[in-house]
Amino acid sequence: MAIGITADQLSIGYPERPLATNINVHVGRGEIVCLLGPNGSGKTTLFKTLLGLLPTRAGHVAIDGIALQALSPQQIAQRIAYVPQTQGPIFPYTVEDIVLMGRTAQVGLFSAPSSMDREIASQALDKMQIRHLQDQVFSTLSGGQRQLTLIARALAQQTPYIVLDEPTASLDFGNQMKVLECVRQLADDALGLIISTHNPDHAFAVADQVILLHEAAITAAKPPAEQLTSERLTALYDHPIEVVTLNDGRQVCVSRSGHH
Amino acid sequence: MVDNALSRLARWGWIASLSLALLGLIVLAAGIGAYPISHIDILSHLWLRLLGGEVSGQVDRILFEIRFPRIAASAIVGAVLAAAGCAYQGLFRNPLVSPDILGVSTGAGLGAALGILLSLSIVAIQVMAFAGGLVTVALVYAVANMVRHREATLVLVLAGVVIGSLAGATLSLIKVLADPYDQLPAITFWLLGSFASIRIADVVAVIPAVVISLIPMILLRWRMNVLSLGDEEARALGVHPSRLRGILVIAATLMTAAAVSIAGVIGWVGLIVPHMARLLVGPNFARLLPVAMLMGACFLVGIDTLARTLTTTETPIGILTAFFGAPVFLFLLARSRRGWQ
Repeated sequence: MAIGITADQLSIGYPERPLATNINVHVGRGEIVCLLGPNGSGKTTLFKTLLGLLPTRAGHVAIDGIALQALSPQQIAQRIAYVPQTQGPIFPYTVEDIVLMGRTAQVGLFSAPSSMDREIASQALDKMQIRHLQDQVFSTLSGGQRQLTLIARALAQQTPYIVLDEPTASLDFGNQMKVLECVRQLADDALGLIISTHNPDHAFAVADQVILLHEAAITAAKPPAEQLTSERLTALYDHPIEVVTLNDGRQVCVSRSGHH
Repeated sequence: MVDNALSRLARWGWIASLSLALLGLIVLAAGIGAYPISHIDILSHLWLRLLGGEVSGQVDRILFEIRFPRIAASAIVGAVLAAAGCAYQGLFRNPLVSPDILGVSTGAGLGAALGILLSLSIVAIQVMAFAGGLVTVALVYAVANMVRHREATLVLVLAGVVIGSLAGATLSLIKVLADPYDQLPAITFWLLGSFASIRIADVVAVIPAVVISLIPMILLRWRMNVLSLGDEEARALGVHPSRLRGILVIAATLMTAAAVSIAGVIGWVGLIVPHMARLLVGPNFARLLPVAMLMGACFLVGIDTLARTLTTTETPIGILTAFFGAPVFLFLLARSRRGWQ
């Protein structure tokens, strides 16, 4: 049995207009796979297809060797948690309510979360260091606090895999780093994570493998240092980009335009 | 842990105080009317009935054949419309919808009117009311789904208004066709909304539909919260959105139709009571549902008592709910900039 989330020859998008074809992706446990791609390249669509929220157009997806189509929404939610890009709920749920909703797949159809579920939700809040927010209304939180809450909800789901759709979008620098550190820590706890970002530096910072989604095709997964070359990034973002190696061996991206 | 215990206490506190308020209102309402009855008389008659004692006399007849059935009906209808409002608002992720705005009440009224026109039995009229409500909500939802590129809230409300007025026009057509001596007054009664001619048999007749439709709402109380996050997020959390929504919409429509079949079309309750209940206990459906139902019951018992005592003739209840509902709704709308409560 293949451990991990595996996409094999996958096509995503709409029947008349596929966004990308022939996608092969593998996310193992304890591994961070980072997905880069320009706006509109289909990153969110790929994630939603991996989660079974959108139908596959061709090819197949398997979780730990079980075909996605063979799993109910509840069974999928017991295996993969999702940190979506969301505007948040329309009703004033508290942070605790939101995190408790992560327990839904473990709660019986006709039951509400038990005290044990509350305990698990509390631990997830502790892990994200946002326990003090638990009685606050989600919609009143800052962008960073919302993102941490949604990650806490994914943790409360207690799945072996988490899909994070641009978890650092619209966060300030400090909060971006906080989210990345947390992602690294989760992988160290043997979770498998696939994460999309608009910042190649984030891939340098946390990724084990990087894949690029560009012009309806996806590259083979490679470690960041091999995948993220100046040439590839320049082509990906249609903008001159240079990868610079710092004195301590870390790599960063800089724009080459404006530099005369 | 202390916080948890406190919030649990607050929740039961609201349920307990609203239950007491409802009991108080019931006794108060039973005493008021063309024939005033003292509260001591009411309680002693209730006590005698409870003990199964021999009862007779005019006071007893007024209480148990006229006032209590009417009060029970208004309490049940108020609770039901509030519960349906909570469910529709959560299911359509839209704080602006309610049985009347979605056109369900008018659709149910249309079904009932059709039933009267065809001289059907009371049970058949209830079934017709349910079918009318269900067809309306399905149409509204289908129309709103077709217009996907516009703001969903707006489209749903507009679709409700359009389909509702279409149902209203059909209703007017039925009124033109109806027998002016027999059927027309009955239909008009339905449209205005009234508890004036309620008998105990009517109350008993709606209880099965109400209980049956409450059961899925109570059982699925947690899933209901998850569903209000939107289909994709709900599915990612392990819920089957379309199947669940289908069950809950049928339940909410069934209870609305049951309410319409005995009391006619009563607006505003299903829209404003869920908002007021959310202000007290927050949006969690397990807490919201009982509090909203109790508030809806209190509201309609109070309003109906006004309806039968304000003037010498009956005031149609829809007029009074609008007088109370519209200002409250405007107040909520003004607050809504800070997020729907």
